[in-house]
Amino acid sequence: MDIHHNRIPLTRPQHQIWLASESCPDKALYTESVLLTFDNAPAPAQLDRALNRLVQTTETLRLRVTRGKDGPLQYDAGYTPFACRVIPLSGEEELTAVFNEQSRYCFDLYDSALFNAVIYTLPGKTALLLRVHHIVADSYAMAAVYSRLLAICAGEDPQPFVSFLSRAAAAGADVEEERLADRGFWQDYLSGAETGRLPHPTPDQSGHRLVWSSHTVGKERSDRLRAFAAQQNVTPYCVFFAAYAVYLSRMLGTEDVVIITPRLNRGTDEDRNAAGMYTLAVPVRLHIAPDASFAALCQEVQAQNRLAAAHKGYGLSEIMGDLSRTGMAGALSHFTLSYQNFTLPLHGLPVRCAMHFGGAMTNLLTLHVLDWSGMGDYQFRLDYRASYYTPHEITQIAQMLRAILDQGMGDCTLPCRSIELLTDEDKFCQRALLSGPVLPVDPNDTIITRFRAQAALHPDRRALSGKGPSYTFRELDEASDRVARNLIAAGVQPQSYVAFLLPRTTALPVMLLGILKAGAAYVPIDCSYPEERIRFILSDSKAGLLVTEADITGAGCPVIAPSPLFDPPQQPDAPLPAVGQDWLCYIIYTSGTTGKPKGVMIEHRGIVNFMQPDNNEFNRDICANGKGIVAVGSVCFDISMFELFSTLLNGIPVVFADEEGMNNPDALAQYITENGANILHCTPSRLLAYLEEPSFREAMRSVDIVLAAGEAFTQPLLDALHRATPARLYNGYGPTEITIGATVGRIRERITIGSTIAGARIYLLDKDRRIVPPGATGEIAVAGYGVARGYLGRPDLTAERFIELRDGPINDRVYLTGDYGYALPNGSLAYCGRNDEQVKLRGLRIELKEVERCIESFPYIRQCAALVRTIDGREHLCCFYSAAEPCDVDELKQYAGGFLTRYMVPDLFVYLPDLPHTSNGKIDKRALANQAIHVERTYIPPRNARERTMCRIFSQVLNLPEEEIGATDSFFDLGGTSLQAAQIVLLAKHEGFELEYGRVFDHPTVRDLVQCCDLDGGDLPEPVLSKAGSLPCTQQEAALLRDALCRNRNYRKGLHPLGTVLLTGATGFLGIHVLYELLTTGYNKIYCMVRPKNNLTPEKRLKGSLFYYFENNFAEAFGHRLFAVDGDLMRENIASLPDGVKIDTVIHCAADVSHFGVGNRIRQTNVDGVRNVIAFCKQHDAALIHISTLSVGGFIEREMAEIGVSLSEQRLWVRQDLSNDYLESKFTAEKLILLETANGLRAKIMRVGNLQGRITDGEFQMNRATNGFTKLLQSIVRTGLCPQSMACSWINFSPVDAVARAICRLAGSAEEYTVFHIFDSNDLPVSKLLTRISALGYPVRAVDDREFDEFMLHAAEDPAFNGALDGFLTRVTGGRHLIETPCESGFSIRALEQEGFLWPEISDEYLSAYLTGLDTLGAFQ
Amino acid sequence: MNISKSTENGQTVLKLNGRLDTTTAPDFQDTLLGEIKTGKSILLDFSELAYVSSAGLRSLLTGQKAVAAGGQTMTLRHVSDEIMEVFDMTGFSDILTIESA
Repeated sequence: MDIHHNRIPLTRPQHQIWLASESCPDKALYTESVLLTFDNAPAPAQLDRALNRLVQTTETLRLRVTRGKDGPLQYDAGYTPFACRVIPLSGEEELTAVFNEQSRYCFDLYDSALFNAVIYTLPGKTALLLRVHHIVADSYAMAAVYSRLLAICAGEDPQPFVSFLSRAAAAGADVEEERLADRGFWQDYLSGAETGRLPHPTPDQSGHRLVWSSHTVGKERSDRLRAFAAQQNVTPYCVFFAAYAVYLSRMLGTEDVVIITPRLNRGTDEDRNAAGMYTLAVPVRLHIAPDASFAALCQEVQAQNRLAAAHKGYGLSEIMGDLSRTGMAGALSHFTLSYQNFTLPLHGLPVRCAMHFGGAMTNLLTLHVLDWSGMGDYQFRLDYRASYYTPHEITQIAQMLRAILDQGMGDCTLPCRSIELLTDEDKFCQRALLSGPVLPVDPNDTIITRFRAQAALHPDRRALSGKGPSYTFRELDEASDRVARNLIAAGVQPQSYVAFLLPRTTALPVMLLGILKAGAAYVPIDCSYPEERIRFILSDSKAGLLVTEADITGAGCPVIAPSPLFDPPQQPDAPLPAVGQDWLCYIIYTSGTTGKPKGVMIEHRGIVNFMQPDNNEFNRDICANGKGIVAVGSVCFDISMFELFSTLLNGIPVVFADEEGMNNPDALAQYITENGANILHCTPSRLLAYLEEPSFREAMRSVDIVLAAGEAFTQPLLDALHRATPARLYNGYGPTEITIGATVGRIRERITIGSTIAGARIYLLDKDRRIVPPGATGEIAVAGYGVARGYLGRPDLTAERFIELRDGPINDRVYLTGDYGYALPNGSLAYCGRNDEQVKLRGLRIELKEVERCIESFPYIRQCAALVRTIDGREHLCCFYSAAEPCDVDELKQYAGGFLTRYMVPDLFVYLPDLPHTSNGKIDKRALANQAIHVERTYIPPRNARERTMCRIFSQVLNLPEEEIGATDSFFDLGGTSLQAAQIVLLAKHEGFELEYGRVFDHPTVRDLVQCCDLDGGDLPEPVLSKAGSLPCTQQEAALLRDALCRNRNYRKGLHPLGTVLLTGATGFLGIHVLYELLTTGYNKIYCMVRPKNNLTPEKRLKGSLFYYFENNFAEAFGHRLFAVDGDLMRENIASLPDGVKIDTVIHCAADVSHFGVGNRIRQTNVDGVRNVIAFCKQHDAALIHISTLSVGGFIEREMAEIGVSLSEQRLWVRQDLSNDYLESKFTAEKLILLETANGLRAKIMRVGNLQGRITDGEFQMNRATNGFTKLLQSIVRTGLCPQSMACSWINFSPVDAVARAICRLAGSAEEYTVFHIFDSNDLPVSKLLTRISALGYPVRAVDDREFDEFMLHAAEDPAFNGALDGFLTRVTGGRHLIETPCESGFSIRALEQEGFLWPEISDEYLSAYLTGLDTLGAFQ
Repeated sequence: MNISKSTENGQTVLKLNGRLDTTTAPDFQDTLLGEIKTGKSILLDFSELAYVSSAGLRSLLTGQKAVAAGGQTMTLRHVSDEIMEVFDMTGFSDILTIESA
C-alpha cells in the first residue's frame, strides 16, 4: 500500500489543536519539548541510531498534516534515514539556556515533519532535545514514545504501538445528533458564567511569550494530600483543582470559576497503546459556595468534572466559538489546570528529563500539577504570560495554593471563605505597598495656627484677591479675626455649625476663616442649589446660623447678612477659642445613593496633614515654585479647600475667581494673566472644554502647575494640555470622606492617579473585607489622618462605610470608598472605576471606564460616556460622545474592536455637540440615561453576486425576507443563533463558499463573510486605517505589498549560490563583515562599490578598512575574486563595472544611518539610492539583497502593542509613526522594493537589529562616535548612573559577524521569500551589560527614574558633566503614547535553524571584550 | 614591523616600517612608553607604515595618554592617506597631533 495516499481526516482532538494553531500560526503554542540528559555521555552516533530506529517503528513521529478539500488531513510520511544535528555546548548552563530558547521553536504545520531532534554534546554528558507538535502526540503519548526510545537505547526490543491512523480511521465521523446535544449542554452549562476581574497586563510588555517556573508542593504536604483525597474518596486531581479554584475565585472576586482542564480521553486498550493525540480540553465550571467546606468543594469538583467529561465530544474550540458570539470565549478560557501523572520509565539508564509544554500561550495562567515520580512529591509548574504576571507574583501564587491546601485539608469544617490566602507578613507587605510616608503632624496644629504662622512670616505679602477688596496675609488675618469676634458676639458657640450661602467675592474666604476662628465648623451652600436642598441641608446640619444676603424662606435658623460681620467688633480683644485638632472644620454635603444628601464631617487634622509642605509631590512643587493660584472650585466641594488651604497655609496667594471666572474660559484666562498666577486646578471635563478657547489656551502658557482631579483624567485632556502648555500636570484621587485626596501624583507619560499621600494608608479589599491577593482588584479603603468623623446624624450610614478593618494583624479605621483599583508593582494605585460603573450587559460584566477610555482615544472624540440603555426591550451598550462633528460609526466600532473584547464595544453611538454636565463639572450620566435615542438601521444592498447569494442564505436560515438583509447587517443582530450559524456554513458550502464555522462569529455580516471566504488562503489582516495617518500607499499598492509579504511563511529548506556579487557599503561595519564572510566561505567573485575619496582609489580605501578590521588586506584576492569599483548610489548607473561583467546578486549594505538628518540627505541615500539600485538589478537581472532595519517597525501606540500588533516578516505597515525621517526613508525603501517584486524583481529584505561588536573578539565599528548606543554607554560610564526603567529592560544585541553570516546564508534561500529578520530574538538584559561595565572598573548604579530625572536636571548645568549626558538625551524614542513596535520573527528563526545557523551566546567574556575594546579606543572618555 | 629610533631637535623620533597590528603593537607600545619615560617629546614617522588595525590604534591611544600625563607631546608625521582615513573615521584625528602633509 502506498502510505502517502492514505490520507485521513484529523480526529476531533486533533482538530481542536488545528483550529487553535491556525489562529496563531507563528507562535509555538503547541511545541512540546522534552530534553533528555544522559549522564553516561553516549556517543551521538549511538543516539542517532536509536532515533532512527524509533522513527522507523513509530508512526506518530512520521505523521504529517496536509490541506484537504474538506479540511486538514493527516498521513504517514514514511521513514527515510536521517542524521540528527549534533551541536557542541559548553556545559549544563548553556544547555538550559538553549532548551529554554528552543522551546519557542515553531513547527510548520503543513506537509512538514512534526517531530525533530537535536543532539547536544557537553563535557561528560550528551543531551537529546526532542520536539513534537501537539497535534500528533499528547503528554501521555510522549511519555510512551520516549520510553520506547530509552528502551531502544538500553538494547531492548519493545513492542510496537498500535497504529494511530488505523484507530483514527476506525473512530469514523462524529455523529451529528450527539454533537448537537453536546452543544446544547455547553450552552446551558456555561450560560451566565462570570469572568470576574481579570489581571491587568503591564503596558510595557506584550505578546504571548510563555514563561514558567516550578514550585514544590512538599513531601509532607503531598502525603497528606493523598491521604485526604483517599479519605474524601476523590482523586488528588480534584484536591488541586479545588485549591486552584479557591485561589481564582479570590483573585477574580467571583464565586463562579471556569477552569479549562485536559481529559485523557482514552477509552480502550488499543487507544492507550496507540501513541497519538487523544487529549481533549473541557471547561469545568465550579461554584465556590462561601460557606461550603473545602472537602465539599473537592466533591463538587469531582461531580462537575464527570459532568463536563461526559460531553467532551463537543470540542473546546466549538464551545468557545459558540460563546464568542457574546465575546466571552476568551474571558472564560484564561485559566487552565493540567494534571500530569505519566512516568517515563528510564530502563536503568542514567537519564534526566525536562519538559516544555509549548513556548507560547494564549491563555493567562496554566497550573500543571506534576506527579511524575509515582508516589513521590507533587510539583507545581506554573506557565504564565509574562505580560500579566511577574515572577514574584507567581511565587506568591504557589505559596497561596499551598496555604489553601493546608487550611482546607487541615480542618474539614472550615468554610472556603475562611481560608486565608495571605500570611500576616503578606498583609503587612500589601499595606506597606500602598501606604504613604509617615510624616509627623504637630498635634497642636490647626488650620488657624498654620495660617497665623504664615501671616507672621510674610504679613505684607498679598494673600487674597478677586472680586472685592484684596488682602495681604496680615489684613486677612485681622479681617477674619473681626469676623470671628462678631460671630461669637452673634452667639456662635465653639464646635457649632455655621452655614453660609455667599456669592464668590473675596469676602467668602474671609468668612470661612472667620467661622473657623470662632471655633465653629462651616457648612457651605451653593447659590445654585434649589431651595428644597438648601432647606434640607440647614435642617439636617442643625446649623446655628446662616450667613447670607439671599432671601431664604423657612431657613429654620437665624440668618445674618455678611457685611456687618466685617465691621470692627465691639470687643476687639475678646479671646478667641483654642481650637482643637479634632474639632470639626467643615461639613460638606455629598449626594448619596439613596438620593438624600449626607453631611460629611471633616476635622482639622486631615486638612493640616494634607497641607504640610512635604505631604505630597504637588505640595512640594507649589511650595517651591507657586506664585499664586486661581481658585475656581465651588466651595461646596472639598477641592476648594485644597485650592484655598494648600496655598494660604504655605504662604501662596489665592486669586478667588467669581462665578464668571468659574464658568467662562475668557474670564478665567483674564484672571490668570492679570494676577500672574501660575497654579490652576480644574476638573478634567471643564478643563478640556476650556482648552477649546484660544484665549484660555494662551493664558495656559504662563501656568506652570496644573491639577486636574475629581474625575478621570483622560487621554484627550492630556493631549490637549500637552499642546497648550509646558506646565507640570498633576492628578489625584479621593472622595470627600477622606479629606480632599488620598493620592496625588505628577502625570508624565502615563496617566496615573499618583501615589498615596503622607499620613494615609490604602487597602484593597474583597467583599468579605479582607486584603486581596497581590495583583488583584479590590475595593479601595482609605485610612489615616484624613478619614472623616462620619456622616452627620447618620450613624447607620457611618457604620456601613467607616469600619474597623480587622484582617489578621491589620487593625485600622478605614473608609470604604466604593471605588475599585489594583496596585501596580511600584506601589501606585490604578483606578478601575466605581462599583456602580461596572455594569452587566446580558450577564457580562463591563467596566464602563474601560470602554470610555478606549473610545476617547479615538481621534476627534472630545468626551464620551458609556452606559447601558434598554431600547425596545433589548439592552444596548450606548456611548454618547461629543466631537466637532459626528464620527463614522463603523470606523469607531472597528477601532474600538481593536482594543476591547467584542461585548464591550458599544453597539450604539450617539453624537451630541456637548455632553451634559453636573454643577460640579462632571459628566451628568443621569441626564444621558434619559436622553432620547433614535435607533435606525440603514440598509446597504449587496454589491455583487456573491453577496447576493450570501444574503439569500441568511434569509433562508433566519426565515426573513431577502430584501431585509443588508450587506452590513450582523447575522446575530438579525436574531441568528449559533445553531443557525452551523446551517449558514452548510448552505454556504453548497454555494461554493469555503467557510469555517468560527468565521461566522468573527465576520458576522454578509460582506465580511464573503470577503473572508474570498481571501481564504492568504488571510492577512487588512491594513486598517491608522489614527496616526492613513496607510502610506494606495489600496492597490497595499494589495501588492500583501502579496509580496504573505509568502514569508512555512520556510522550506534550501539554498542556492549567490553567483557574482556586487556589494554596496563595503567599507561600512556590516558591509565589510559581509565581504569577509563572502571572501572566507564562498568562491564567488565580489565587486565592491566604493567611492574614491581624498586621493584614495576605491581599492586602497577597501584595503585600509579590511586591514583595520581583519589585519589582512586580502591583497591576493584583489584582481581575482575581489574587485573594488568606483560607484555612487546617486548616479543612475550606480557602479562602473568592467565590460562583460555579469552581476547575479546585489547586496545593498549602504545606508545613511543617522537618525536625525539635515535636509533631505537621508532620503537621497536611502530612497533615491534604492531606486537606482533597483534599476541596476532590473537591468542586470540581478537579485537584490537589501539590508534594512527592524526600526522600520518604528513606534506604535502602546495599546496597539497590547493587542498584539507587531512587526513580522509578513508585515511592513503596522500603523507605525513615521515622523522620523530615517524611519520613513527605510520604510519607503522597503515599500519600493516589495512593490517592484510584482514586476519581477527578485529581492529579499534583511531587517537587522542592534549591530554590535563581533563575536570573535568584540571589535566594534570604526566610526563608533556616530553610534547612539555607544554614546549611551559612554553616558552611563561617565555618570555612573542608569535609570531603573532602562536597567530593567532588555536590548537586542546582534554581533555583526553573526549577522553577516546569517545574511549571506539566507540570501540564497528560495526566491519567493522576501523578508527576513536577522537578529537574535533572545534579548540581552541591560543589567548584564551594566554588571560588565562595573566589572571593568566603572561602577554603575541603577537609580529610580524620578531620582534620575532630578539628577539630569542638575547635571545639565554642571560643567563636570559636559558632554556626558548626550547619550541619554539623543536616544530616539517614540514620545508619549508610543512604544517601540514589538517584533515577531518566527519565520526567520525557523529559517535560520533549518539552514543550520545558530546565534552565538552573548557571554560575559564576549561582553567584557566588547566593552574593553570600546574603552581602550577611548569611547568612554 | 621595524622601529628605528633617532633624535631630532631634542625629540625622540620613532620611524615605523610595516604594519601596526595585533602582532606588532605590543612591541611598539613598549618601545613608545619606554621613550616617553625619558621625558622627551616623541615624533612618530609614519612614512613607511602601510596599515594600522584597531589594535594599532589602541597602542597609539595608550601613548597619547602617557605623553599627556607627562606634559610632553607626541606628533605623527607623514601619515599616508589610507591611515589618515582610518584616523578620520575613528575620530583619532581629533585626539592625536598629526602634522599636515
